[in-house]
Amino acid sequence: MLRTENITSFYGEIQALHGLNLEARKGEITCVLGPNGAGKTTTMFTIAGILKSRTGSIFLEDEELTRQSAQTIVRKGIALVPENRLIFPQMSVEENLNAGAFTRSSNDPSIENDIFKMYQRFPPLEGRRNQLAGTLSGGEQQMLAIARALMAKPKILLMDEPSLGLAPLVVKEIFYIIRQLNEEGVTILLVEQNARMALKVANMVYLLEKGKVSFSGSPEEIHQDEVIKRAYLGTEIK
Amino acid sequence: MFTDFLQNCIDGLMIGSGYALLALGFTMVFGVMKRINLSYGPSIMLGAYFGTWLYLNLEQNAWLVLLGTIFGTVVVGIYVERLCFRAIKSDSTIASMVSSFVIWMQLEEIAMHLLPERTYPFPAFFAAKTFEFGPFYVRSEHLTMFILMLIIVLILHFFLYQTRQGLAIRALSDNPMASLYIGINRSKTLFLSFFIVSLLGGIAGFLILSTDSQITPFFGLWATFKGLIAMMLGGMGSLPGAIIGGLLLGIVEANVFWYGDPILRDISAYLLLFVMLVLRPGGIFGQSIVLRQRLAQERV
Repeated sequence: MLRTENITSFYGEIQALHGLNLEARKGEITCVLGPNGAGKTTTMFTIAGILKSRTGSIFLEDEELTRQSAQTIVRKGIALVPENRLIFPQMSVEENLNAGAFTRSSNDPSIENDIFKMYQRFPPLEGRRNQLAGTLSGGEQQMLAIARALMAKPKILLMDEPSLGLAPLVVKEIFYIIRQLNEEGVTILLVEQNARMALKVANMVYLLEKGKVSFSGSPEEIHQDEVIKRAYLGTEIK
Repeated sequence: MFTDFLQNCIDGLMIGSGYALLALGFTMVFGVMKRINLSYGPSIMLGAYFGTWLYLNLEQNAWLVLLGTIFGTVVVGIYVERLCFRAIKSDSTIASMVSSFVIWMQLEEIAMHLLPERTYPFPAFFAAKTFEFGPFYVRSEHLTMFILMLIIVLILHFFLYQTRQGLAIRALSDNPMASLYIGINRSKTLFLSFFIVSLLGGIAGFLILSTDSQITPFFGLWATFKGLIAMMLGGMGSLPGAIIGGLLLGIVEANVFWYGDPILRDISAYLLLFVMLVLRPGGIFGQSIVLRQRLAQERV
């Protein structure tokens, strides 16, 4: 569904991605793992059109999206749940959801209905619909960020470290939501540092190192590879 | 004695509605871009000169002057946006402020040197009339300004809170990065807000100058000062703050003018600002914005 071919991204003169190839298949959860500075967020930014790749191409269902503007890319069906959530803190929960549907036609009657669906999926949000989003707890903000991205009706959901800064129980809940979304047919590209949780939900895993894919395969294959297992999951205490 | 005080307050409200309109423009630019547009007043002044030029050379019609003033202000506003806000892409708010100061000087020089006579007459909608309400008096131009201010505020509120474009402006002001992720076009939205601010400035300029029935090159400086002070009194970035700040400034000035000395009028504005900044640095409404932002940032 989503494919990147040999993309290279730069921050000024610093090269962050060195020819990255990855693919997210329809209906699957594809997970990108890697240490700090490996280029995980950069990958997300490049796909979302916030950074422009100097070479290579990005395809969504065989339609080329390389170097399109961020607005066009949201319109074409790629929505990003950014790192650190980045909700609109001084707008109400409901306004945040409304803003998520910004690229959809303003007189689309289904927007109202979709907001209702989000409240059903994320019950804590409904009770706080008129509350300012900045006053929500971390977990609730993460739910709001996911719901806001879903409001754009994306074909694929990019999630940048959804577990960052959340309590272990809340992380569990977020991953439960991710799995649930996937079961309902949402294609997800997930960037994580929490390898243990990510491997539990992923269908396909890419390991990133210094802006390149160093390994790709199914979670089972990672569990079989002793070296990678030790590097990413740590040795198990016996 | 008490009647005097009430009459002063009424006068203050009327004059203050002009300050409020000016402050709305400053506060919107600040809210959306976190920048101060110092050349706002002078760009309104040039727009108004264009309006009065039409009045003197084409037709003596107040509507034409209003449209001309708005048109002129929008054109100069776009010029300012291109040079001071669009061109400076980085987060350098200081650079924007300094360059808008430079444009201010430039616009003022244009008015001083290119216009043969610097003072021109400026028309109003109606011939000056004074209404009597019991013991109180209100001038027709003042009443027009006050009522139109209320209408404009309602329209602006509707636009910002009920329309898609308004949502985009508020989203951009709230979290610029996040607004990018949901597909808001930053430069288009910034342009739109600048356009609205210029429109607002044109109307404000027309209404204020109508009450003075003349325009001088000092109007630019005057409008920037009054607008900035009213905005800071009410709280930077707050729309209700701009209105309350403007009205408060008007009332205080009118009373100082009456009970004290005409010279003290302008000083009282600075004194009021000083007291406000010491007691409540965020302004009347801005304090809660500051606190709310801090709270939100802590939790994000």
